[in-house]
Amino acid sequence: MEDKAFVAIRKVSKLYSNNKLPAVDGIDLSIRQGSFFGLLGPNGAGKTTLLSMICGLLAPTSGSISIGPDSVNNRKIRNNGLLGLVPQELALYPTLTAGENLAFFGAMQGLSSAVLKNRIKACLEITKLDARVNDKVENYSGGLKRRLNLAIGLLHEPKLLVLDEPTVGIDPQSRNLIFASLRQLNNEGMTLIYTTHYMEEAEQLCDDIAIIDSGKIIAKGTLDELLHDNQCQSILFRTNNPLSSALIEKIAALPFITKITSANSKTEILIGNDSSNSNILADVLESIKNTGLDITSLTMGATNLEQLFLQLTGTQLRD
Amino acid sequence: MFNMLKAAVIKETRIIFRDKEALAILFILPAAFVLIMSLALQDAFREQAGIKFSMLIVNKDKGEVGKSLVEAFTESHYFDVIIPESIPDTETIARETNDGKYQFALVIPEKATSGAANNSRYLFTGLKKYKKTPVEIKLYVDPAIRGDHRSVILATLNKSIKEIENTILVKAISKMPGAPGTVDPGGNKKPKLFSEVLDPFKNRISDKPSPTSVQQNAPGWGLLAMFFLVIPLAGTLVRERDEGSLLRLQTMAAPVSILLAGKIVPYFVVNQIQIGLILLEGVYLLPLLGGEKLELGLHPEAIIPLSFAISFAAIGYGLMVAAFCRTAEQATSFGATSILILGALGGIMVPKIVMPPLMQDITVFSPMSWGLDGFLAIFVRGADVSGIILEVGVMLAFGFICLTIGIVRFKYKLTHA
Repeated sequence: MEDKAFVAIRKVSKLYSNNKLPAVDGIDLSIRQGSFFGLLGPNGAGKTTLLSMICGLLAPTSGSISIGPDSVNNRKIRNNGLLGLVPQELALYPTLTAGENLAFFGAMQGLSSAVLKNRIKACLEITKLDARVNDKVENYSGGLKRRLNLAIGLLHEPKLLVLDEPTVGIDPQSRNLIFASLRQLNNEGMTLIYTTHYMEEAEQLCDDIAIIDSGKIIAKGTLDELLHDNQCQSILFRTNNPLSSALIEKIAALPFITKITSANSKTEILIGNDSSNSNILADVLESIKNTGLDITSLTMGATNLEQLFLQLTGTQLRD
Repeated sequence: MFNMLKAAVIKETRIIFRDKEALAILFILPAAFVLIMSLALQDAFREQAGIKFSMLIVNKDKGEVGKSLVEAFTESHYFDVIIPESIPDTETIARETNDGKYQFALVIPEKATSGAANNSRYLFTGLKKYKKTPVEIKLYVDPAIRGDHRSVILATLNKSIKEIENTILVKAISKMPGAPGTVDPGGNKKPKLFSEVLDPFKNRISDKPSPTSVQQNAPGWGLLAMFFLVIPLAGTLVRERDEGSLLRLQTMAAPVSILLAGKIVPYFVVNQIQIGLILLEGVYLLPLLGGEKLELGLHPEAIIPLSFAISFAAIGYGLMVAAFCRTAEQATSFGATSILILGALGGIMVPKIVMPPLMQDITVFSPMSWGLDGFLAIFVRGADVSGIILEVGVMLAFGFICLTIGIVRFKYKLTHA
C-alpha cells in the first residue's frame, strides 16, 4: 500500500478547539492510484474528520495531505476537478428534477454546456436513471436518490471519488447497481475511498482497507493481509438448548479463547492469534460433552471482516 | 464563471417559484395586508390621537411676545420644545423640518414685541408714525405630519397669539389718557398686531392627510413582505447545509462569491417584483375598491435605490438568520417572529407618529423603520434620491453587517461541524 501513493496522508492530526483528545491522531496512509480503498471504523472513530480533510473541507491541525502532486488545501484541486464527493447525506435539491440537479452541480464544477450535456447523459446511464431524469427528486425512492447522489459525484469524471456511506437505507437492487457502477469505475482507473458500516460491502468491493478507531489507524492492508496478520479463527455452533452460564464460563476459561458470545442456542467463539498448534475445537466439544446438549450445526474457519472489526474495535456501543 | 452564476441563479429561482408556501408568504399575504389595512385604517388616519410633537422654537424677539409664546408651548404637554443655542438661518430651519428632524418649527421674528406695541399704538392713536406691518410669526411643518394634527397645532398657535395680542391691547388702553372705549381703535381699518399664522401646506397639490393610510400601509407591508424572504432564504440555506449540498459545493470549482451571488440575485429580483406589485396595487387597485390612490411623491424614481437597499438589508438579514439557526424549522419560526417584531418596532403595524417618545426612539433599531422613513420621505415630503441618502446608507450598512456576520458564522460552522 505504500508505493505509488496517489493520496498521501502524512502524520495528519486534527484537534477541535472544544475537545481535549484529537479526532484524528497522527495518521499516515498512502492510497495508491486505482485503488478501491475502504476506510472502516465505528461511530466517532474519526472517519468523517479524515474524509473532510482529504476533501479539503477541514484543515489538519498538523501534518499534510496531498492528492497527486497538489496539497488538498490548494484551490487548484477543486479547479481541476480531481476530487469528487458523494456525501452520506442526500445532497440534492428535492424540488428540482434529477436533470436540473445534475445541470446545477455540473455547472458548479465548471463544466461547459456541451460537455455537461454529454456527462449528464453518461452519468444517467451509469446509474440507470435515464427514465426518471425529468421527475422531481422529492418523488424518488431512497434508492433512486442514492443513485442520483452518486451520479452527481461522477459528473466531472474525478480521478478520486470519496464516498461516505453511499448505500445507507436502500434496497438490495439499488445497492447492487451502485456496487456494479463503482466496480466499473474502479476498473476504468478511478481511485475510490469508501467508508461504510456494512463490512460485507467492504469485503466485496475494497482491495485495500484501513480500520480507524479513536483517531488512529489500528489495522491496514488488503482483506487477506488483515485476516492473515490477525490470524483470526472462529467456531460457530448451534445447540438444541441454550448454554448455561457455567458452561459459557468453562469454555471462556479454555486456553486461546479470546471471546465467547452465546445467545439462545447460537454460540460464537473467537480464537486468539497464537493458537495454531492447539486443538481448540476438541477442547470445546469436550466441554459440551455430557452436558445433555446436542450440537445441531458447527462451522469453524477464518473470521470475516466483521468479526475482525469487532475484535479490533470491541463490542462496546459507540455514540 | 458566468455559466456558474447563471446556473446558481436558475437553480435558486426554480426553488423559490416551486415553493408554493413561500410564494404565498412573499406575494399574496402582503398584498392582502395592504388592501385590508389601507381600507380599514383609511378613516383612522384622519382622526386625531393624543400624542407629543417635537417643536423647534427660534425666538429672535427679546420681549414679552417671544417669552409668552415659548412659555405657552413649553407648558403644554403636547410638545417637546427645543430651543437652539444659536439662531439657525431660515433655510436650515425649513430643510430640517422638511426632513422630519422637527415636526414643527416656530420662528418669532426680531422686535416682535416692539412691533406689536407700535401696532397697538397706531390702533388707538391713528398716528402714522406708529404704523407697522403686522408682526409675522412663522410656522414650519414636517410634511409627514397628518393634516388634522397640523390644524390643531395651527389653531392652538393662533389662539396663543390672540391672547398675547389682547394682553398688549389691554396694556395699551390702560396707558391711554381717556376712558376705555372712547377711542375708535383704527376706525374701520382695524389693523392687526400679528399676521395670522397660516397652514404652510394649504396650497399643496393634495389636500389629503399626510401620510394617507395607503402611503403608510403600502410601503409598510411591502417592507414586511420584502423581509419575509428571510423565511425561504434561511430555510433553503439551512437545508442545503444539513443535507450536505453546501459541503459538496465546497469541494467544487465554484467560488463562494458565485454561490452567494446565486442566492442574492434571485431574491433581489423577487424583492423588486414584490415592491413593484404592491405599489401598483396602491396606485391602481385600491382606488377601484374605494380606497385612496397611492401618491408616489414628486420623485418616484427615488424608490429604486431605496428598494435596492432594503432588499440588500433583507437578504443580509436572511443569511445571518440562516447562519445562526440549527434547523430549517428554527430558521422559519425565528425568521418569521423576528420580522414581525422588527415590523412592529419599525412602525409597520402601528405608525411611529402615534407611539410614545420612548418607543419612537427605539424604532431606530429596526431596519424597517429606516425603510419606511425612506418611503414616507419620497411619498410625503417629495424627497428625491439625495433626500433619502441616510435611509439608504443605513439599510446598506445593516445589510453589509448582517452579511459579514452571516458569512463568518457560516464558514465557522462548516469548518467546525
